[in-house]
Amino acid sequence: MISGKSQNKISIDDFKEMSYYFGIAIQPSFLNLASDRNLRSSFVDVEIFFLSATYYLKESRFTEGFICWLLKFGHLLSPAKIRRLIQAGHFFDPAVLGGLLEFLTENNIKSAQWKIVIPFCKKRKKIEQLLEGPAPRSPSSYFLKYRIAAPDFKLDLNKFLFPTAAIYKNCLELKNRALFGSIVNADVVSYLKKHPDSTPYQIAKRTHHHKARVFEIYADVLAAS
Amino acid sequence: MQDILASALTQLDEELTQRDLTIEIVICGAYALHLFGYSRSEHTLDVDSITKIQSGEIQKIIEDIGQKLSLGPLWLNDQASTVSLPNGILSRTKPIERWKSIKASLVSREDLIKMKASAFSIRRDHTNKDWEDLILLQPTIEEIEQAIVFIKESNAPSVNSSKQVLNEFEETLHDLRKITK
Repeated sequence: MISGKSQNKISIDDFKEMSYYFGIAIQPSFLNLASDRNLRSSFVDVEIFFLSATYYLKESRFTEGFICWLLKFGHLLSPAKIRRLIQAGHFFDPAVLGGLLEFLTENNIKSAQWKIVIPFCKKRKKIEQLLEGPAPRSPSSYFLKYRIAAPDFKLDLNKFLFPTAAIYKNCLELKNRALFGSIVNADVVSYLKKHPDSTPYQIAKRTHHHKARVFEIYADVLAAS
Repeated sequence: MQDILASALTQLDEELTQRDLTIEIVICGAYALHLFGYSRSEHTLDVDSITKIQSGEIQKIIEDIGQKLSLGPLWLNDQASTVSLPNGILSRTKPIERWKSIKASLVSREDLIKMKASAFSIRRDHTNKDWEDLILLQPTIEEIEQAIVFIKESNAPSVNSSKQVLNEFEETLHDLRKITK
C-alpha cells in the first residue's frame, strides 16, 4: 500500500520531532532539549513533513494534532512540490494521502490545486482502520472516501496546536511561507538564513525546488540583501 | 527529558510562593500517565485537574505563564472537575512532594483507569486516545470490571433509550473487556 523508495522514509522519531517543531502541541516522550535545538538550526522541509504524515499517522493524538495543523496551515503547503517529491520517489501512503487531501478539499483549503496530486492517491482494497483499537462507529467522511476508518475528530485547535504567534516565532519555514507570496522564495530565504554559505545548487537540492527557479531567486536575494 | 509542563508548574510555584498564595491540584488525564512513569506516554501540553481553580488572581498567573512559555491559557485547567468522578477519589490520591505552594497530588491508578474507561465510553467516536492510554496502563481483569461498574453507575443510557443506543453501550463494555485479553 506504500509508494516510493524506502530510503526516502524518515524515522518515526524525526516525524514526531518535526510535528513538535511545526507547532503540534504533543510532547514526544523521547524529545530532549539538544535534539530540539538541532532541528531548529537546520532547514526543515514542510512537504517532506506532510508526506511522512501519510505513513506515520498511527496514534490518535498525533493524527488529531496533524489534522488540526492541516486545518490551520494547510494553505501554506505546495501541491506542486508535493507532486514533485512523489514523482522523485519519496515514500508515502496513497490512501492516507487521499484522505488528507479530501479533508483539505472539504475545508476549502486550496481545493482546486490538489487536483495535480489526486492522481497519486489510491483507495484501500477494503476498509481498514487507521488507528489500532475498536472500529469507530461513525468514521470521518474524508478518510472513508479512501476506505480508511478513522474517528471523526473534534479538532480542538487550542489543545493540539501551540498558539499561532508562537508557532511563527519558533518556526522560520512556516513564518516565511506566511510572509512571502511565493513558496520558492520563502524556502530559499529560510534555507539561506539557516545555512548562510550555501550555493544555489545546494539550496535547490535540499529544498526540492527547480534549480533554475532557485538560481533566479538566489540572485535576487543576493542583490536585495 | 525536557518536560515543559514540569517547568511551567515550577514557575507557577515560584510565582505563588512570592505572592504568598497556594493552589491545590489533583492531576488526572494523560499527564498523570506521564507522572506515573509510563515512558511511551505522549501527551498534549496541558495538565488536567479535578479540583476547581477558583481564584481569579491565580488563574491570571496561570495564563501569564502559559503566554510566556507559548502553552496557551489552558495549560493548567479544571475542565475535568465537571466530569463524573469515582466515589472517594480524593481519599486515594498520592501526594507529589515537588513544590512548595502547589499542593499537588495524583489520582490513583484504579481511578485513572476508571476515568479513562469512562472517557472512552463517551467519546470513542471522536478519538482513540483513551483506548491507547488504557492499553498503556495494561489494566487487570479486576480493574476493568471495576471501571465497568463505574461506567454503569455514571454513564449508562436510560432503559428507555433506543435499542441501538443500548446495544452500542454493551458493545463498548465488551470492547473494554478485550483490553485485558
